[in-house]
Amino acid sequence: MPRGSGFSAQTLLVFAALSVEPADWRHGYDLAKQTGLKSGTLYPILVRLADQGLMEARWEDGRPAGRPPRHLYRLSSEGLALAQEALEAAAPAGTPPARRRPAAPRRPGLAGEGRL
Amino acid sequence: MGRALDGLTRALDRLLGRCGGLVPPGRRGWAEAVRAEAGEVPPGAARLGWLAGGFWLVAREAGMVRRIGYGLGTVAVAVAAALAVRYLWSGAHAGRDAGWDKARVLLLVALLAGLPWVARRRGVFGPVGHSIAARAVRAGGCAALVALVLDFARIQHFPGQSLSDPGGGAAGGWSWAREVAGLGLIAACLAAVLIVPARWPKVRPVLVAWGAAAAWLALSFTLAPLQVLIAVYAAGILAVTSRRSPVTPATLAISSGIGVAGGLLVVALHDPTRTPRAPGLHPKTQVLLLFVVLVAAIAAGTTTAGAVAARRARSTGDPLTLKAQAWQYLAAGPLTAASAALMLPLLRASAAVHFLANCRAAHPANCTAAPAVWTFFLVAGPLLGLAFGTCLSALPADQTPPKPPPKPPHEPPREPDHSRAGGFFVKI
Repeated sequence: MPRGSGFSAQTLLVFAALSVEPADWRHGYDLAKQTGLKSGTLYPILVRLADQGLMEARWEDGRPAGRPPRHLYRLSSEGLALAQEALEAAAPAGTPPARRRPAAPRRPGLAGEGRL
Repeated sequence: MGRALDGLTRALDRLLGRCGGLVPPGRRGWAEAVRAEAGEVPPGAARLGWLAGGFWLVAREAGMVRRIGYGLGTVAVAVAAALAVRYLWSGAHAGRDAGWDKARVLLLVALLAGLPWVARRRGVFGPVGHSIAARAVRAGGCAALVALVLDFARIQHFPGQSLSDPGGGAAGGWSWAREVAGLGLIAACLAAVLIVPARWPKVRPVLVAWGAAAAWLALSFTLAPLQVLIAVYAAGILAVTSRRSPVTPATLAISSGIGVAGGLLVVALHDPTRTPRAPGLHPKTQVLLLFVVLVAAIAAGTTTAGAVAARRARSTGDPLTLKAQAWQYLAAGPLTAASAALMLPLLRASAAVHFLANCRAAHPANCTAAPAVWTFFLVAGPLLGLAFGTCLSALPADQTPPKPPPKPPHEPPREPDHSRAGGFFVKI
């Protein structure tokens, strides 16, 4: 797997998933389904991205009925810029993240604005 | 089957909730996040796998893999040391130099157990660093030292071999007076490093202490060379792998890895204790070959570790770049050489080659000099590595960022602010 961007293929998958709707808060299982990563792979990546300030994380507001509140994630502005750069760097090699990457990710604030 | 799986999933969920407490307080939310999502995962194997991933996350965040691995390594070293003591006292190992062997193994056990405790306030020798590399190098190095002591005992019983013969570097047989004097000098040397800086903090403590230590070490080496070697190696392993060590995990991993590989390469090229693979090669040429491989390993380890450190330091923009790079170069040379020299097959092979070279050359008096080859590899290797690292550490100094342009002449000179802080000497 090419690593010209400096990120692992799994991290690029996470970047691609979070870049689809950058303003939306995503939860872990949702990301796992989209990327195909197991929790033991996905969460260490999320932890690292949050530590580096590339991703924001927060707990779901309120107390949803029938389930515990979820932990939600989205890319920070710095993370979004870096993700796009990394995905573009990986794109010529035909990696899976490049195929999943949307043509034009929406700008923050255009989607899911009510939940921000 | 399904009911058992559900029961296992519930048990795992509860266990994950309890294990979350092992994670540092600021990071417990991540374990809770995995648990919170588990309800969304389809029941059965998928949910079980999800929770298992949560355990892996907890293990990573709590450093459990490192702790368990290091704990097992520590236990293995302790068991090996206990077995070595038992072997040397059991009567199975008997000979005119048994006293030396017992002294060496006792010294090693005392150093490994006592040094971190003696120097606990300054943290020079312990506790161990957080990285996997530091823990692996410390556990592996201590195990190699225990094996080395046993190998010293073993080679003494080769015909014509004795580490206490003149060729081995120490005169005469076992002597309590000389042993006590040698051990006393070692203790004084180690104590000087700790006591002088504490008692006379204004008298350039580091230089004085290390100068005195070097002098005592040189004197001790003439009395009990192998004991000094064991003491220096034990102290060195504990120092470079301690939490305060400036040696980065990458340097530790690269240097020790290349050193061990170099040692194995020598054995792969030629092990005269087994079937000779190069019968046409003169034994003295084989000795030279061993040394060339050792030098190549030192050069590769020092250069690679230093280059990696330099690349990482540049990418992070660390203001202590030059000092950090110099440390990596200085540490990488001795570390690579020591790792190669501690490979027992290398020592065994080199001793045997030297033995063959001298005995076949009609110089039977030199036959007892084979152990000197051991000490040569153990002493000359790290010294050579230190010299090589010192030369290489001077190279990054050339990359010093250009000084800021001089201030305009019309600017009035500033009053001295009496600050003596320097960028390279800021204490964190």
